[in-house]
Amino acid sequence: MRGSKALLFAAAAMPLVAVMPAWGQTIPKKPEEVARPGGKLPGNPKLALVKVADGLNDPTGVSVAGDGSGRIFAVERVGRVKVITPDGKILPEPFLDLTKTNPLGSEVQTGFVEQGLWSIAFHPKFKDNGYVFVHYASLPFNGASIVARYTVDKASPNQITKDQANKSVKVIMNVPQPYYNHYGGRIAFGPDGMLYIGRGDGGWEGDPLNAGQRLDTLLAKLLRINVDTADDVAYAIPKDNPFARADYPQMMSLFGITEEGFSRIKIGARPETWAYGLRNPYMFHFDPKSGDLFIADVGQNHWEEINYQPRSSKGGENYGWNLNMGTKCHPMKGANDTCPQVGVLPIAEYPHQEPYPGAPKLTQGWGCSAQGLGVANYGGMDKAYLVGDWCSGRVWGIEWDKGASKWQMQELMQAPFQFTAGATDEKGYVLAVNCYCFYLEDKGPVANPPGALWRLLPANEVAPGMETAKVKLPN
Amino acid sequence: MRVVCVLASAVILACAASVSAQELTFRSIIDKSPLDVTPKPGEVVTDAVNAFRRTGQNPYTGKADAVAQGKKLYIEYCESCHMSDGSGRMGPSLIEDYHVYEEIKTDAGLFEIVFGGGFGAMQPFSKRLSQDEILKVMAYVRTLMKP
Ligand code: HEC
Repeated sequence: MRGSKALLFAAAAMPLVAVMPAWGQTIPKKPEEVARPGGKLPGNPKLALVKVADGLNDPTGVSVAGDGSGRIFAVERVGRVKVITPDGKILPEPFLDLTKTNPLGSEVQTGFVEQGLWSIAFHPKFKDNGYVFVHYASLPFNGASIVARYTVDKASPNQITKDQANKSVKVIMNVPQPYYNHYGGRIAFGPDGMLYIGRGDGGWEGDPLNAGQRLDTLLAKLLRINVDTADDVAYAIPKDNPFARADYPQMMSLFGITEEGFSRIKIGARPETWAYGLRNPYMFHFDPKSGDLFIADVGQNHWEEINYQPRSSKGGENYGWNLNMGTKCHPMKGANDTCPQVGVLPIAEYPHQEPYPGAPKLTQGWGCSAQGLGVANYGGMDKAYLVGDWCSGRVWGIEWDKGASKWQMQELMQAPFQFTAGATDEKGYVLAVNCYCFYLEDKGPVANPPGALWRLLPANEVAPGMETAKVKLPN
Repeated sequence: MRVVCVLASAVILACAASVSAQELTFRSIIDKSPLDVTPKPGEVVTDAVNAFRRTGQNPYTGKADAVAQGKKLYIEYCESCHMSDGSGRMGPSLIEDYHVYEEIKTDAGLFEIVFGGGFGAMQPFSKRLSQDEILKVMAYVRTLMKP
């Protein structure tokens, strides 16, 4: 949708190009315009990974309350949220413990490494209403993904006790899960006050349900809902969602309607959809400054993709899965596959060790699973999306290069561990967590060596006494 | 040991003893900083580990029992990324001539990456295994590698 609209606009605006601001980010229309490793960010940032706290069990997410408290909230896969104080102390009592709220056992299904608690989001008015939202795989509902709201008792700001949890819980959404992988995970409020939910394609591989291109399922989407509803209404559909009225009861008229008008009728389309054609949007982040959105969509065997929407987006983007992965064809058969390009291209993509089946293995510039960390506006970076890789430990920066009028992707460092998630802190620095939880070596959510919480600081802001990770900086 | 020695430098005798035992210093493959080989609480430092620390040679290489135990550990801890034959998937092949780190041709170098870790998913197995187990898994890895 966005692609075709943008094309029309570009064609109509041709003579105006000269007066259009040259710095405006555009979304690539041709595969050649998509950034790949090897580029250079305009500010050539030099970063260090500074340890904030250590001793987290399989951290899968991180968040801040935005209430000025300086607290950081680390999400542990097992079902706990831990508070990290501004001086880096992990409070012993969890902020929320979903392993304890259900008297019949844990509330959270953690059988497979992609299952568990993934994310906590604080309501934009959290300071007043105390609302927090979590997203996890449910044990009682056989692995369905649940979004639920809990309310913090002002008298106990660092702990939602079991009683308080059970008294205040409101289930927002329950999405059945067909297979045990590709849930997505992060939930976050946008600058518009709506709750966005990254929801994966439901798993197995190859998207056997065709969830990516189907509009009648909540799977393989970025969802957008309004949670500011009465307590007996789970959520509302924002009126300006792209498919809000696509399947709305209406009289049938055959005449006097344009073809474009007919094309907006999509029977069965889920109105919660904001964007589709996503495989596993585990992490996505809004730029705290501009409100623009970046999505790190985890790829399958060969490529990872990073998508971008300006704040002005009206939604409805189709990111191509399961017909494309990045600019490539799916299923990928060789180096020179050809196939139609479906929907909107990513701004950046990076390969796995084997960029196509049977390819010679890359020794540099590869990864396996893109975990977006956050949008950075410091240390020479201007709306740079930082993405950490789950296998190679590489951190990529992706930023629009005004001078060259294109997206750049640069390897900023390689860390000695696997990234799972990130977010910006209250000062705008990007936080990241790491986990020792690769598939087969996973020993369960509390039995792996503990992971840690890190902050990506400009190298020249590292103060004496700070512990930094041993990273490899590019030459 | 060296770390302990520096920390406890008041105990000059202990330091001297440690130095005269001629223990090698093992270094992180990432930045060459010394690795702390102090045993974990409850970890038994076996004769093999002591010998290895002095010589840098893995006494378990070619020893059938140790290799068999190392194979079990390899299946549990390494196979997911390096494959059962060592040909590599998420982690690099261990059996080709090409190595990310030439150091792994020596036992000391192989120990340094398995114990201290590399980049990304190649975590420090000091967090999961005892040093004796690492020597056993190394002995098994040697049987996969081309001579
Ligand atoms: C979760 C995936 C993973 C697991 C499990 C894993 N490795 Fe690795 N291994 C890697 C990656 C990735 C690298 C490359 C690291 C780098 O580039 O610094 C690597 C590198 C190595 C190397 C260096 C190879 C070279 O070419 O220089 C050796 C040796 C090695 N691993 C042995 C092991 C052993 C032994 C185990 C089990 C105890 C193990 N690995 C478990 C992912 C893994």
